[in-house]
Amino acid sequence: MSIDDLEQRNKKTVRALLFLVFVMILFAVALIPLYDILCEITGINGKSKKSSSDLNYTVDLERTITLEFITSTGAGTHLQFKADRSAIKVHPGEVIKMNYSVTNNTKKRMLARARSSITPGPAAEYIKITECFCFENQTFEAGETKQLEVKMLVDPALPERYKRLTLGLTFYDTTK
Amino acid sequence: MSAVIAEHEHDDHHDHGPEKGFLRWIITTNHKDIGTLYLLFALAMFFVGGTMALIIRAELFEPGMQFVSPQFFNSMTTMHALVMVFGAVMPAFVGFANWQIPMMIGAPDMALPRMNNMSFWLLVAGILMLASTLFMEGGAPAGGWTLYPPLVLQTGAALPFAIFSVHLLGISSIMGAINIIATIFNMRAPKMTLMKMPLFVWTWLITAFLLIAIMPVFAGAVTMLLTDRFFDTSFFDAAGGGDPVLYQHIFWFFGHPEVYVMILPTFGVASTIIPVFARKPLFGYSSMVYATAAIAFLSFIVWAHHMFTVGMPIAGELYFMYATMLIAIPTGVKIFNWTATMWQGSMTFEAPMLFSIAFVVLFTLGGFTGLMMALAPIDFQYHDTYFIVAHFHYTLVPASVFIIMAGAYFWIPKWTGNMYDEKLARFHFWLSAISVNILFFPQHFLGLAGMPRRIPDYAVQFADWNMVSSIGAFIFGFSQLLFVYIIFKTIRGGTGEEVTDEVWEDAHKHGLEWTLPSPVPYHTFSTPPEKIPTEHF
Ligand code: HEM
Ligand SMILES: [Cu+2]
Repeated sequence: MSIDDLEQRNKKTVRALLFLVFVMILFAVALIPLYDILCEITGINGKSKKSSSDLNYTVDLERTITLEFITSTGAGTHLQFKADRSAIKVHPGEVIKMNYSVTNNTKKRMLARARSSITPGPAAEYIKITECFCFENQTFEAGETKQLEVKMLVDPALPERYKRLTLGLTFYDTTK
Repeated sequence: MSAVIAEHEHDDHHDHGPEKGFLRWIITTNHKDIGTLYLLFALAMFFVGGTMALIIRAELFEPGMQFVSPQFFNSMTTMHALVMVFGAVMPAFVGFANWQIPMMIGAPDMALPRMNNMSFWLLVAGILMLASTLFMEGGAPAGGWTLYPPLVLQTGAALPFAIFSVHLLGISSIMGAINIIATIFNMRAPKMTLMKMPLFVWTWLITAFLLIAIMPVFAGAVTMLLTDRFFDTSFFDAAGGGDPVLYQHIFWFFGHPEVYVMILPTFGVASTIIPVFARKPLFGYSSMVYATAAIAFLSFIVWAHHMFTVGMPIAGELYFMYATMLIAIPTGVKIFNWTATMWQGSMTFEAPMLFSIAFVVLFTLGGFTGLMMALAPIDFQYHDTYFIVAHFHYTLVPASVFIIMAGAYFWIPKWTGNMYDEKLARFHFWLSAISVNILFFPQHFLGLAGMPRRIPDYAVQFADWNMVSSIGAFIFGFSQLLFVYIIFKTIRGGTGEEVTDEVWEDAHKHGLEWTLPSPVPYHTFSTPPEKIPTEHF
């Protein structure tokens, strides 16, 4: 093999390998949407979506499940955030309302956003949240206390094995 | 190495010899020079990372806070890991690759010599930038080498520098990997078919592909950290609808294969050394090649065994559990083959062999603890405790690091034409082999008893074993000064013993490099060799 041949072959190899590097960079970027899609299809990470407000189920009085409400705030978010009740017993299909109180403990106006999460994750698709302050940004004046509401239903199709579900809400300070 | 230094001293420059003076080391494109640079750099970083480890062990010698602040302690665990992985273990194997691959396949040099020089200097730049974070406002990164958000986003001024250093290290590794693949594909001697290549070459070929596949992913993940912090994106920020667990998935997609980047060349060197001292061909050559490829493939589909406790669905836990356990099969094949190679061999126990045997035994132990943690329900107890610290140190220190030292003793007579002091080297081995167990074995007990990793202080119930572990650490650390002494003494003339071309009895049957003169001339195999050793097959 002559030197020129070798140089040609090396160039070809380098080009092919650089292409592989490029593919892997694309792959890394693609992992973000892929991850979301996978989570959505399998419903594994407990994310819930807004459901249409005219859902109507026949209430299943035979079954009672426990709904727990937990609240938290992100690091550096100085809000006092509590649900009125920590747990309630409900029948699948009935409309449930829960009140939350939020106090801005700082001396400044705050823009904040709550994010919801349902545990166990696979049950998330059976919890229909029709109204929630977590669907948009909330503003809190300095020292202000607000009463906020969540409205939801539990789909009676919820598999039998789920007896206790938890709705977690976390507020994050998003003031710029 | 000393070919070089000898010429330095006697100044007997001939036609194709190296550049004179210091500049030679900066602009060199010779694979042997670059190999030397990589190895010396790795050795220096081994001591930098080792010093950090001793700071950690000094603080943990007794419960309570003694020497350093918790913040600095956490910087030490983070930087120790990053320096050891990217500055010591990986460059050491690249150094071996530079020296040995061209000689093993009968090539005159690496395929892309100038790129070779650049990868080395980018590595130095990357590590210097990483080290500079130690002196920045807010301190060096302290969130662990895995750089998990949201914790890592609390790093002070150091964050962008740490991230850029990862980019530099990534580019350096990718360039090195491209070079190695091009060399192996295009520069082999005519008779050196793929299935006749020494295993060290095979393992590096596969490792190079791993590097090309994972470094871009790691670079991507840390870039997203950067934009999350400075450009208001929310890839990993729950407030903006992102997900910190996503980072863990991307990181471990890189991170698990990364641990194999450190262990596959280790397997390669062990498979090179053991047959020579057992005076037998390597048992099961082709099964070794396939097992290496299988391990590399499996390493891409098991990443979430690092994340059993993040709240995966049960199906995910089961899948990652079984997939991880599968890795034990090709790994077991390798252990079996090394043992079978030694079986009924006429073994002698020079330092390289001693380190290799210790590797086989102690790596197996690390593999077993790995299997224990692969069991998802059991890992809930072990995760983030000292048990996992013991696991990965067994797979890295008495495995990768021991084999690096074995390789250094094994090849340095060839490189320099001087013999190292066998007695001292054996003493170095026994000191290291005993102290490494005093250092890491008690960490199993600590982990099982529930001591968490990455903490500067601990409950008094853990005091005794921590003290033992720290004592082992100091013996191990200081024993390595002996290694440096032996190596430099060898470079400067060694024991004065005659070193034959094959160095080790009948080594010429095991590889092309042993058919070259000792010390190896600056340029070798300018014309490809006619014959290649066939002992392996
Ligand atoms: C039979 C082979 C192996 C198995 C089954 C295995 C399994 C595991 C598992 C399940 C973990 C996660 C533990 C946890 O976070 O709770 C782990 C961690 C780790 N393993 Fe292995 N492992 C194996 C071999 C290796 C090898 C060969 C290396 C490196 C050369 C290695 C290096 C590591 C490292 C560095 C970590 C810790 C990463 C971190 O969290 O910082 N393992 N291993
Ligand atoms: Cu792993």
